[in-house]
Amino acid sequence: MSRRETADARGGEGSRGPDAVDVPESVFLCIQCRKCTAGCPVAESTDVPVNELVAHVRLGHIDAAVRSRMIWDCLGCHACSTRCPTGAEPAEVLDWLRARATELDLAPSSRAGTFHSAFIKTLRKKGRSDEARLMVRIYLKHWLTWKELRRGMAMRGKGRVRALGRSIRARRDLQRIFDLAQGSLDR
Amino acid sequence: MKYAYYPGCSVETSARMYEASLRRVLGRLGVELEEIEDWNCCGASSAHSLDPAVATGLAARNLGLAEKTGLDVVTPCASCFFRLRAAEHAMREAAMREQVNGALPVPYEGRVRIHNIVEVTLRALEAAREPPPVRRRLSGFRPVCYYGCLFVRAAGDLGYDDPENPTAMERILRFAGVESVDWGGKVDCCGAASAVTAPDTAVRLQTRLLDDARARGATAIVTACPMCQVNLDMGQQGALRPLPVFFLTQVLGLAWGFGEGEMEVERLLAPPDVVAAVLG
Ligand code: SF4
Ligand code: SF4
Repeated sequence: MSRRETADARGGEGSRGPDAVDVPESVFLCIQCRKCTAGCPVAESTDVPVNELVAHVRLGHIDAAVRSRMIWDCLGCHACSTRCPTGAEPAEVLDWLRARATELDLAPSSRAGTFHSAFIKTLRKKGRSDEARLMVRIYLKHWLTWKELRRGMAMRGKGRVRALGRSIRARRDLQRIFDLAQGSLDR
Repeated sequence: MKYAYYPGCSVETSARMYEASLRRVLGRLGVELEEIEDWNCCGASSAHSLDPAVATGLAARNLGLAEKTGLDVVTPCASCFFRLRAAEHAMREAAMREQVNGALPVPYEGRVRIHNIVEVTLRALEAAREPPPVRRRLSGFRPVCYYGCLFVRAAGDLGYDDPENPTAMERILRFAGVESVDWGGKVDCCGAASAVTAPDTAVRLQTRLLDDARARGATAIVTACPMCQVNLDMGQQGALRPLPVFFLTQVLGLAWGFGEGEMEVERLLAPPDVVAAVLG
């Protein structure tokens, strides 16, 4: 995705004020039609709907955007980007915001925050994701409801929870790929 | 037809019966699968939220390995399909390609096409001079076809279907003698990771899907997405009258005469008597 420096809200188009930052260029295509939000499965239960996040980013209000709960409520279903009539790529804007939030150490301590960091940890170590290990990492930090426990046991009873514990052979490859990261992925 | 096969992580564990059934069903269709040597996780559902180059690199390592074999890629997982396609597109940008290829054991040159299993199954059936005969009539089986989000929303032209009102699975099921029920939930989200991260959201989305399916008179759900299957199957665990959630390849296999054991039908969470009743 190409980046462009935002116009700083205080300084007007082109000036680089304290809020100016390179944002995904696609946001400048947004016409605020709200089609993204109309099809977004979490629009009704979140704080800032996706079209407003795109508007925030476009205006350089990154701080407001990275602190929204929505970036962690988003399910990554891509209904928004698929239906956006202008190519503003709202789903990719949310990816970008999650990356910024992680860099700024703003990933929440909620299950959603734990999920992403646990996923990356397992992947980085093994090269495969391992659902059993992922669940354990999440449930070490968050209480399990009775219902979840029962479902987990049911899955286990069907042989569908297996800790494979296996790594890919070329684990060196993973290190080199993770070294491509600009921000820190460890937080 | 032969493909480089990218299984993805979930068919090894929570969606094992998918792997078991798809290997037999594709085999019956003459589609050969060569598993990508030492493949790695494509990064779904987190890497792309952390760093674009890492996300592209993780997926592209597999593409480089596949390219070496000269085969196109097929994957049964919707999330993997989406991520592999996203990487394939990102790698068309010179700057990204250069950066990522520098870190890959086998650089990706951009010559691999990525397909999903729905597409490959449909194309094989349509091209077959004699599609496999239906050996078992699933007479009472009235499923809705559930596509979920990511099979239909991957980058690039889908080619075989309409992303907003897909019909490939309905067309495929006709080759099994099964008429599906039309409904409004085909491409709605099952809740994805919210089943773990925000259970209320998952319940809300799944209830909407299940209510619509029931209201149309469906007795089961057929899907090709491992995450959708796991979410809807687990979400209904303990329900009195669940709608059993089958993988597309399980239904094809049953109709073409494979046994329920071979299709690992017993791994569904729905009670065996409910499963038996809907299969008719
Ligand atoms: S991101 Fe696209 S769909 Fe959403 S408001 Fe902007 S133009 Fe409309
Ligand atoms: S990807 Fe996220 S923001 Fe876009 S429609 Fe899905 S849940 Fe909403």
